[in-house]
Amino acid sequence: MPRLLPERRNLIIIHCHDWMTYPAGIVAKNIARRLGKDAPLIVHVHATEIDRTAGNPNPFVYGIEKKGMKEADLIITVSNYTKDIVIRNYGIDPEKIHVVHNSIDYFEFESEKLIEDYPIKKYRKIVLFLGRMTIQKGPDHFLRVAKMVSEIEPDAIFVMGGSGDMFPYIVEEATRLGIGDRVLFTDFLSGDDLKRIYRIADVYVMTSVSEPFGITALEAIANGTPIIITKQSGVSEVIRNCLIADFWDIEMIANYIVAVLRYKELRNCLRNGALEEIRNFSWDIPARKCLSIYNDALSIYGK
Amino acid sequence: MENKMVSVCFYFQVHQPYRLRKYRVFDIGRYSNYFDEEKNREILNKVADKCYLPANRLILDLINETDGKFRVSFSLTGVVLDQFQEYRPEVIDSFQELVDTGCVELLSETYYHSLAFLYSEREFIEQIELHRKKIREIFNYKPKVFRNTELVYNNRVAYLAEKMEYKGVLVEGADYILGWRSPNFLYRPKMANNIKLLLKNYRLSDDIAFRFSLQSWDGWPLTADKFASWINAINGNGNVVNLFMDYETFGEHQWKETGIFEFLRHLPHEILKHPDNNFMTPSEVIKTYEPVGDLDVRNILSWADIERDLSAWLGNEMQRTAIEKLYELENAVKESKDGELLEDWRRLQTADHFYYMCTKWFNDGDVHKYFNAFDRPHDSFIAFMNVLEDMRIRLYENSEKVGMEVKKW
Repeated sequence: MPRLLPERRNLIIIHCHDWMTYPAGIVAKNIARRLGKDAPLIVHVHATEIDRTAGNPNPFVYGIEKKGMKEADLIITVSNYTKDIVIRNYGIDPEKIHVVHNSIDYFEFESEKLIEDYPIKKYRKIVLFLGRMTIQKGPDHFLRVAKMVSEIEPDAIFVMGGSGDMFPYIVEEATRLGIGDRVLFTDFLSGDDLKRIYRIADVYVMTSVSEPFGITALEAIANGTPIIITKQSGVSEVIRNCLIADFWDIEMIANYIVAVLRYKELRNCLRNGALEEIRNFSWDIPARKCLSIYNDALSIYGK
Repeated sequence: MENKMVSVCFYFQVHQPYRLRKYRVFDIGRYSNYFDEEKNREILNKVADKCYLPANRLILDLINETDGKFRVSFSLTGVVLDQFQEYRPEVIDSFQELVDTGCVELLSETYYHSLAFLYSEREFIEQIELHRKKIREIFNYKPKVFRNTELVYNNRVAYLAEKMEYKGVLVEGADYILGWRSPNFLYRPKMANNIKLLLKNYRLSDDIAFRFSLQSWDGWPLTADKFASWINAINGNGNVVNLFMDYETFGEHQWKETGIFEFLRHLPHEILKHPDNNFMTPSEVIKTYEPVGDLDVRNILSWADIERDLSAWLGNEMQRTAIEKLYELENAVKESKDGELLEDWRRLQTADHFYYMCTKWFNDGDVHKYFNAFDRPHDSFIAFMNVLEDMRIRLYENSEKVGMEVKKW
């Protein structure tokens, strides 16, 4: 790593990630101060309690988050969407918030050599949900969308990958909606299976109610799958070649799915356009932004 | 002598499409109101207030101030005239006043501002005739010069225009067509002896239409006397400077605050300061000057973007699919004898719908984004294809009624 930070003695930066680490970060900062060292505290917000609970935060967790954000010298959020939540729901001064969008290492997908045939694609069109089955990710919304699509697209099936506290409810709800045979479940996936499921899918649908970023959308793109995402997501700020709807607009999401399944021209334009957009994505970019934010943090304390 | 003279020929395109609403797959078979009436009314009124009414007023004043020496031409699409009549009839009156001065020429084009020329000559000619009829009804006027949608042109356009007894056609003065030759003369098309071609001087036209408020441009700020000096520089090297642009340049693409109206207010006086300059309409240009050479245009030419081709409308596969599927319905729609269906089908031909599906984001894409009725090109494709699906159902149900044999899609 080239030297991107000024060489300074007594250099300490405390960079902590999400609420579970905030109390430790605050304590560390106080200790450093007592030892006479400059120790700016940076808190990095990957998700808030507002996102995780779809707007019904646990006051205990919320309190820790708020305290951490107030104590922080600088805040990094993974999107403008999250920045707005931090301003609106936590009363934080916008001046100290920096946005660093997440990324993926696209070159790893490009060199990827998983070339397989999927016989199921001859008979079925596959709509993919992937994520924890929690209220934040909107698996219940996905089911309602699936119900609408299944009625006019007889070849469509819906694959839901991931586990979480809502899993039993979702399985039962699928049967209650009468689409028990159209919705298939996989447990948590990783490695080649994860890549496989993206590639088998004709479209990836992210139904999140509140998604600070949404890296799965980038993974889907990298695997050549068109994406439909919600407006309430950070990834919608960095990708243009996608379809985007409000999370509550079930009918619009269903409309999009039907269109993507029906028209290969649309699939191709979305796929190729999005691939072009992520071609130069890598984790280097957010890493460099973080380094420049470290510099900003140090300058608060003067030279 | 005449060849020392420079004539300035203005043509303004006046057009607003019937924009589609976000027609969803679940609307198919349930509702057949495809167009976003509220939005179309709102935009038409906005542009009328910001551009059409004040610009018409100004041009009328300028014609009066110069004793009719200031002359311009307009092409008004059928669909914009329909919307004026429906939403803002006073705009029609204001154009009528201009036409009554005798200093304003109206041009001919396809009623629906369509790309029919590329897909169906039958439909192309029918739309030109519909437009002629509309112009006669409203303005009691018979156009003599033809311009195709977005200046889409090749030799065949001139050939058809001649058959329809036009005297001239407007063409983009693209470098790759003209080579070393100047756009400031008339040309003769291949295969049509009685047609003269007027070529757009795209540099000077775009100086007004696109660069007027561009502060990074070395011509900025563009004043009327500066522009007149550029016109004067052509004196002796050309017969006519064709300034072709969207009328919405005045007050809509270039906001009032940029000084575009002040520019227009002073321009005729500045240009007329030079005794050898004058203004002419396309028909007057055609009567006055002779062609200096032949122009052989085999590939399709247009006035859009840096490529001057069709890529803004037909550049990606969504655009090509949408338009091909639309024209596939032509025979069935016409045989159905259903007037409403035919009208809807024709409104869908307006070039703007395909322009909204353009994905050339990264170069001149910004312009497309600004003018897009939808958030994303994919959205306009989806709405359009859903509408086509509904039309197929209407066609099918219609055919059952009249006992006609129509394929069930």
